[in-house]
Amino acid sequence: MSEEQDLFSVTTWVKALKEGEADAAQKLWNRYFEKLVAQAEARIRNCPQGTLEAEDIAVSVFESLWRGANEGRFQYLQNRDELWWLLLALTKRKVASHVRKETALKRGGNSTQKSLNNDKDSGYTFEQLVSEEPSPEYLAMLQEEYEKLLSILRDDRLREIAVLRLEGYTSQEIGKQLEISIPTVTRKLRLIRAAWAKELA
Amino acid sequence: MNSPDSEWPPDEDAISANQIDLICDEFESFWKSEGRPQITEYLYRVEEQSRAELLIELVRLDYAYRLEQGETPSSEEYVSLFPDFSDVLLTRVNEFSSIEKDVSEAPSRIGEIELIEKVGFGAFGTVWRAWDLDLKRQVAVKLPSSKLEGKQQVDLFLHEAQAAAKLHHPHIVPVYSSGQINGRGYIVFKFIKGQTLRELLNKQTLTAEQAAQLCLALADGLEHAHQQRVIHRDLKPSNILIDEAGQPHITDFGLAKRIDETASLAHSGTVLGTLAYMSPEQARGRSSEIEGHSDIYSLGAILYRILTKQVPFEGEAHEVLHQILNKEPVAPRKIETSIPRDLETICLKAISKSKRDRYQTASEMAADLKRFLEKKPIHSRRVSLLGRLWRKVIQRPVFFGLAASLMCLTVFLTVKALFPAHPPSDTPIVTLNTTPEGAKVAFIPLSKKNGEPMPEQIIHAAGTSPVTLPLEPGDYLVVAYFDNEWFHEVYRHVPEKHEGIPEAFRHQRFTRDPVRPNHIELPELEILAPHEVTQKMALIKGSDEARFGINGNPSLPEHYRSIPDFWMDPMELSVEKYTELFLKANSQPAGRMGSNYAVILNYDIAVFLAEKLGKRLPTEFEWEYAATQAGKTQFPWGNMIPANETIVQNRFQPVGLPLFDQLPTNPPVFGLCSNVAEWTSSQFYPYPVSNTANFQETPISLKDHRVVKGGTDSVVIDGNPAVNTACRDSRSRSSAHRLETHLGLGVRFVRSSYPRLNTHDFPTILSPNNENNEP
Repeated sequence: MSEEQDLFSVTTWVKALKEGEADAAQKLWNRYFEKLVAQAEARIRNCPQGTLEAEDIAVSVFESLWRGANEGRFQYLQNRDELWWLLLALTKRKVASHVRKETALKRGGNSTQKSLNNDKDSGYTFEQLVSEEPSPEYLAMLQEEYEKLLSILRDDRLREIAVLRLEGYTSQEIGKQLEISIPTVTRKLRLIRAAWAKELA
Repeated sequence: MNSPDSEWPPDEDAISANQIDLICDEFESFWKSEGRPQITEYLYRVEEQSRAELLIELVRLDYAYRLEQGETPSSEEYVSLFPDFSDVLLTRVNEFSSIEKDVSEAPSRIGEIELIEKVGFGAFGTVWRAWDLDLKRQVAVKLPSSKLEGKQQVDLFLHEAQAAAKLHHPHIVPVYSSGQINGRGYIVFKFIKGQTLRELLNKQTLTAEQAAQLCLALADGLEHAHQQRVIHRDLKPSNILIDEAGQPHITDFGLAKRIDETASLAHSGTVLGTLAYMSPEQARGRSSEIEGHSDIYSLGAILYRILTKQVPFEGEAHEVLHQILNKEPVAPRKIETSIPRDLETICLKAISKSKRDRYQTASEMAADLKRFLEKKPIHSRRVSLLGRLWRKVIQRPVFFGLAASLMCLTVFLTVKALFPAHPPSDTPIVTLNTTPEGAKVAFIPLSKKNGEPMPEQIIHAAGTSPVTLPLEPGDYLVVAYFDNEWFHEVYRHVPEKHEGIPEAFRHQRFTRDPVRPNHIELPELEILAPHEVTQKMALIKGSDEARFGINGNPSLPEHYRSIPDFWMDPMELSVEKYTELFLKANSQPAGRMGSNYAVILNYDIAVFLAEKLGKRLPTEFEWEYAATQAGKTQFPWGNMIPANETIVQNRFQPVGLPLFDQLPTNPPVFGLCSNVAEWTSSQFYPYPVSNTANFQETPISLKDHRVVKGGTDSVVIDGNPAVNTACRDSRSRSSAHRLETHLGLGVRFVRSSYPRLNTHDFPTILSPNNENNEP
């Protein structure tokens, strides 16, 4: 499928890892996701009962995480996680630029813009994205990025697909749920990926 | 719902993609509400440059909806409807057929079994990770592709599944149940958490002991199955699951038989993987002969793959088939010297061409593997040299020719005894013509030892072409010339007496006179006008003394040669040029992204195409001379890798790139050490240095190998486009078999600056300058 040939696919990322590192990557990914999900659950517990049953688009990234994890859809590091990838990379960059601004202010505004784009695909290596403990600040920014990324999409159909994908559904499942054909899901995912990747560029 | 939001910011680049998306949405909603939309009504709504992209999307949708309607669309239909777009459509054929899988193979539930996710697919269909709600356990479900529909097919499939269900062995994946749903069969297996052997081998290398352990376990499993009269028929690394404890489990028993009947070779990719492990009797398509021996062959091929990191035979499907039937595999220890001899013997016995020569049962093979692991002497014996020769003889159709000529010989001897006064000569009488006629022709024999031309033995034909003269059997460099500029140099082959079946290319072909069998006609050669040939080539000025080899490396000793002037192509042969030369639309050249990339080809095709162009392949010395700027630098551009190029290139560049890799010639010569590696005409033999005892003899095993320059094996075989000192040193040499094509191996041509007729017209070794060389 053409999806797999795209530059921004997780498959490409995983392939870029050295031999023997793929298993380690899977473990890192799982551990990181567990942490995110734990945070998500903590937040959701504070929400009023019943709101999560709603059928409309998840308004919070934590809902997406919680639903996906609860229904066992985040078990394997694979291509369908790639929107997560872009989301994490964008959040990471936002945190970094925030930190940079803060330190620059402390030093008297003399900021030296250091390029984070050392990895040509994303700006981040796998480890950089998933090794750190998700701080409260990070989580706040994750939510902000989530909202922003959904807002730049063209219409609600694209947003629905993006959210379902983030919740870990396969193209087949999304197609069935939205009653559209698989080629359409694939096509629209490509649009989403392109739009988000552009944010990262 | 699908109209863009008002605040959605349109972006120049995204407009076309979004436009296509919206048109497709409309097309889809027509399918859903009213029925069949016409592609043509949608296609012309976009600018011409976006039309191909839109068409692909529309065809994808159309294909999916027609499948849903129970139709069986084919890619060919769309090609005939949109002939202008046939090229883009044809490249998607496989993709369209995968839509079929996606659409038709997604039942979410089979009885009490819930399909969770697709974890693999192959020629037969898909594999799902699933949950058995009744028994509360994880299972794997195999759904054959919808090609297997039809009652008879389904019955056969289920019959096989039931046979496999009889097997209970720790190294065989157990079948829990099988049945049919909606007219399609399915099989429920135990879910093995882990990976396939194929995945494992792609990631890591096993030691010889681990390889033997693994194959021992597999042989045990096979023995159990064979005793139950179940033959696997398609044993290969992707059918072997390795669990988390590292134990192997064979899966897909007996299913392969169905594939043989339904999958065609054209559907390569998936089937290709199967071919590599297929026994000769299967390759011949003799399904009646397939028995336990065939699985033993496959197991041997798997052992070969683990030990050598390559399969016994590689290449395009037809090449692999040909090799499985006709070629002995390269002995594993020739590839990797550290492989234990006994393990090599076990492996080669298992992959013997003849069933009689293989292990007769899997337990025999298991016993030898066990002896190897216990460091006891194994029972199977190495095949003697004579045995190997005999096998070669009987494998070849030439055998019949040989038998026939032995008979002729008997008759001939009788005749000779009767008429001793007329000793008919055995020497072939060779005729060769040129276009245009009237050229002078000289034949330079190629050394039988190392394939190098021997100009000191040049034979000048009397008169002008067509010429007829007696020539000893062998290969020749033929120089046909009108003057110092208008000439051509090609290769021709004069057959031995018993040689009956000529090869395909001009440089190997001949016609034998049916009445006078020693009269041989060689394919005509065309002498192109010189300006047509050299107009875009760069002249490389020769030198009386150029350095070759690497100082201090005994296998590549430093030495000096004289190099005459020659012309060189500024870039590798491109896919475009290749297609043009074949003048055939249906020959699909192997290349990368597009027509301006280097074409991938084998040595003989390269020689053939060079001849058509009035050119030839460079010798390894000419190539190295050019790439080292007359022996002065390490790379065409100097001694250092440019800092910004040490980064790994993502892919090979189009021909005529990259800019940093160019020679200061006019026109510049590009890409010698940064694009694909390149064939040279030199046989691969130890570097010839004077006074070395075993000098200049090519070992028999390397006779068909040619020196490859401009990239090490990693570039040649893996197609790794990286530019760094380790893999791009212009002084280092790799080799490849003349019949093989490799991902990273192309060619560029050269031409002599004048017809080569004398010794000094060839690269000549100079005796060392200082005399204190080692004894």
